[in-house]
Amino acid sequence: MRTPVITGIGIVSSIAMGREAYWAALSAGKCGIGEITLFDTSGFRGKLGAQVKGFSPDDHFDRKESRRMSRCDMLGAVALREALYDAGIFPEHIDRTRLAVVIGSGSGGLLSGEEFKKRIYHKRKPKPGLLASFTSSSFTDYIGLVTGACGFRATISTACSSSSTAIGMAGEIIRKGIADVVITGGSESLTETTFAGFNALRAVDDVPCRPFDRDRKGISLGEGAAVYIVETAEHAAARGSKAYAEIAGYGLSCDAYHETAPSPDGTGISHAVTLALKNSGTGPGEIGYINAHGTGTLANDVAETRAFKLAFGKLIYRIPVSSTKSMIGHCLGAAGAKEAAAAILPFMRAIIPPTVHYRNPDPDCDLDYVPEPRKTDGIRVVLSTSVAFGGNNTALILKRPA
Amino acid sequence: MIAITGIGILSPAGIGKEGLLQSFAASRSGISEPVGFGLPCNGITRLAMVRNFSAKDYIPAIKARRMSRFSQLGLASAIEAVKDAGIEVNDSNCYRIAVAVGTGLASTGSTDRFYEGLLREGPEATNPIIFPETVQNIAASHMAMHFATRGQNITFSHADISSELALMYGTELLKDRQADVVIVSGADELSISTVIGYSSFGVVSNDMKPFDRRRNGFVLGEGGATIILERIDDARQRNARVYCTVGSVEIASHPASNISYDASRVSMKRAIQAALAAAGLSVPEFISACANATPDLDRLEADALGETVGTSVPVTAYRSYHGYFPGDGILRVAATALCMDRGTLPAIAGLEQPFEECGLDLVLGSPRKLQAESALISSFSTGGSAAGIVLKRER
Repeated sequence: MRTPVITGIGIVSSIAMGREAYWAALSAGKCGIGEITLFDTSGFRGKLGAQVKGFSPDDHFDRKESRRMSRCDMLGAVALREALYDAGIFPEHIDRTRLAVVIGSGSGGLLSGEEFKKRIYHKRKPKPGLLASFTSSSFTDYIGLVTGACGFRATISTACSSSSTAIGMAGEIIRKGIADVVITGGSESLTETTFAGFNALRAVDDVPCRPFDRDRKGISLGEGAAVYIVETAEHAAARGSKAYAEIAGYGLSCDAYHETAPSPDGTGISHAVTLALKNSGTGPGEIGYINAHGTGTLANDVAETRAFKLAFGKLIYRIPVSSTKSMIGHCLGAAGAKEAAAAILPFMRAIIPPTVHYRNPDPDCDLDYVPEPRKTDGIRVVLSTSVAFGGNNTALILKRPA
Repeated sequence: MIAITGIGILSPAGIGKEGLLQSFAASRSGISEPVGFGLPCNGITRLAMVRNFSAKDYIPAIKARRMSRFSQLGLASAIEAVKDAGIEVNDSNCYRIAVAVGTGLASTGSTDRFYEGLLREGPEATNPIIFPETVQNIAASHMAMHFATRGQNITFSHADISSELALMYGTELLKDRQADVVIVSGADELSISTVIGYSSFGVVSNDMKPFDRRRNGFVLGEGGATIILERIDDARQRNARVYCTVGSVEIASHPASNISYDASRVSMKRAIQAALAAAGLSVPEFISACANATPDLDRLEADALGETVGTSVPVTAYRSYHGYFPGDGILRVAATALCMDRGTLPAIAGLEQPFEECGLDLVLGSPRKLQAESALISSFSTGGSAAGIVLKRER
C-alpha cells in the first residue's frame, strides 16, 4: 500500500501569509475581500476582490529572476518555498527522477500577457519577456527549474477546478508508484480579464460575497497560492516527518449542461462526490465536514446543495458545510488548492471554518452552513468540492492521518 | 491493452484521415500565405491554417458561431472520431465516457478580443459571450455537451506535452476501469497574438525544414485531432475496428527555463527508454519525431534518438505538414496510427539536406513503404518536459 500524505504546506493568501497564519485567520473568520489596487476597477459594477496586499517582488526575488516571472509565478514561488521548508525536504537529497510536479492553473501569467497587449494597444514597444511566463505551465516548469525535479510533470487547466484535480492526481501518482514525492497545488493572480469577465456575466457581488445567503448576488474574486508536498506515508515516516492529511481519493465528472452555469439538478456534482467516496473507500457517514465550492452565485449554491442531498441523502443534515470563499474570495485556478488547506482546519485546529457574511437562510439552501467559526472534535474525514466553467466538477477527500 | 478505435483529423495538411494521407502521399505541406490575417507581422508571411473548414458542417450554426476556433477545431475532430469509432452515447453509458483534452494556448483569439474590448470601450462594453470561451477547458466542455458525456472531463495545458498528458490520463482511466471509453483530443488555434508572441522569441520562420542544415524555425500551425480509446476486449466485443494499441505513454522532465529545451537531453532519453521498456520493446520499427525545425530542438532530438534507439530506425516527422502548435501531440499520434495502418511513411516535408551531424535514417524525398508492428512518438517541450509514446499493431 502506497498511501499519499501531505507533509508540507505553503500558503499565500489575502487573509494571511503562511499556513499557520492562514489557519489562525480562518479560525477567526477573517475576511480578505476589499478594495483592489492591482489595477483600475473604476467603471465595474462589482469592484471588490481578495487581493494579496503588500506583496513586493523585491522582498522575495532578485530583479533578474522576477523580470521573467508573472505575479502568478511569484505568489506560487513564495508558497513553494514555505512548503519545501515545512516538509523538511531538500530536493538535492532525494532521487529527483522520483520527484513529480502536478499543478493546477487557471489564468496563469495572463496578467503579464495583458501588460504585453496593453503595450501593443498603446503603440509602445512590447517586451517579449512578459510572454515568457504567459503559458499555463509556467509555474509548473518554474518548480522543476528551482527544485531540479526530473520526474512526472503536468499542468491541469480546467478553470476553477484545476488545482483540486491536481491534488487528487498527485495522490494517484503516489499510489501508482509513478513518483515518491509530488509537489502539487496551484497559484492564481487577479487579472483584468477575469475581473472584467465575471463582471460582464453579472456574476460579481458588489459587497463581499455571501455564499448560501438568500441575498447573495455573486462571487468575489481572489488570488493567492497553495503548494503541497505529498509523499508516501512510508517515505514520510522513514524520515520522521509529520503528516497533515492523507489524500484519500478524488472523483471527476462533467455536467454536460452549460459553459458557465452548473446543472441545476446537481447530478453532475453529486456524481463526482459519489466517485470520490467510492475511489477512497469512504462511506458517506464518515464525512465530518464539507468545504463547498460555494461561490455565492444564485445558481452554484443551489446546485451544490442539491448535489450534496443526492450524494448523502438524509445524512447531509448532520454534516456541516461551509464556503471559505466568503473570506479568501474565489481564487479560480488556485481555489481548490487553497480550500484543501481550509478543509483540513478541523484536523489542525479542531475548528470548522465559517461561511462569514451568511445571515439570511435561502429556502433552497437549507443545510448547516456554519456562519461562525465552530469548535469541533473527532472529525476524521473531510470533502472539498470544486465546480468549474465548462461543467467540470472535482470532489476531493482528505483523511486525518492514522 | 488499450486500443485506438476512432480517429478524427482537422489538419492544415488535410481534413479527415484520407485528406491527411493524400497530402502525405504527395509530400504536400499545409503551409500557405493566408490573406486577411494581419500578416505580414514581424516578417511572418506564412502559416499553416486548416483550410476549407466550415464549423457548421459539423456543429449547429447557432452554436458554432459562439465558439472559438479552438473549440470548433477540437469539437469537429471529436465528432469525426466518435463517428469513426461508431460510439453511441446514451443514458446508460454517459457516465462511463470520459473526455481528456490537451492544448498549449487554447482560445488565444477570444482572450485577445475580450481584452481589446475592455481596453477600447471600457468595462461596460465587454462581451459576456466571449469570456466563457477564454478558459482552457472550453473545448472539452463543448465535447461533453455535444455528446452528452458526463464522465471524467479533464484538460491539460502543459506546453508541448499537453495532449500527450491527455493521452496518458485517458489510458490510465481505462486501465483503472474508471471509464469505458475516452475521447482524447489535442487542439490549438492560430491568432495574431500567437504570431506576435512566438516570433518575438525568434523561433518562427516562413519555411519549415525539419532536420535540415538550413532550418531556422517553425511555421506556426493550428488544428484539432481526436482519437477514441477503449480497452481492447471491449472493442473486440463490439466488433470495432482497432487501428492499433497504445503500448505506453511515459513522461519525464529535467530543469529548463520555460522558453528553452532540456539541453542535457536527459529527460528526452529517459522518456524514450521508459516508453520502450513499458511497451516491452528494445527498438521501435519507426519513429515519429517532434522536430519543429528550430536549430535547438532538432539537434537535441536527433542526438537523443541516436543515443537511445540508434540510427538505423526510419524516422519521419509531421510538423512541416501541419505547422507547429503545442497541442499537436494527438495529431502526431493519429498520423502515426494511420501510417502503421497503411504501411507507408511520409517523406519529411521541407527537408532537403539533413544537417551534417544528423546520422538518423530520415525519410527523405518520397514516401517509404514500411509494414511496421510498432512505432515510437517522441515529444519534447520547452520547460524541460518530455513524453515517449509507443503504438503497437494487434493481430
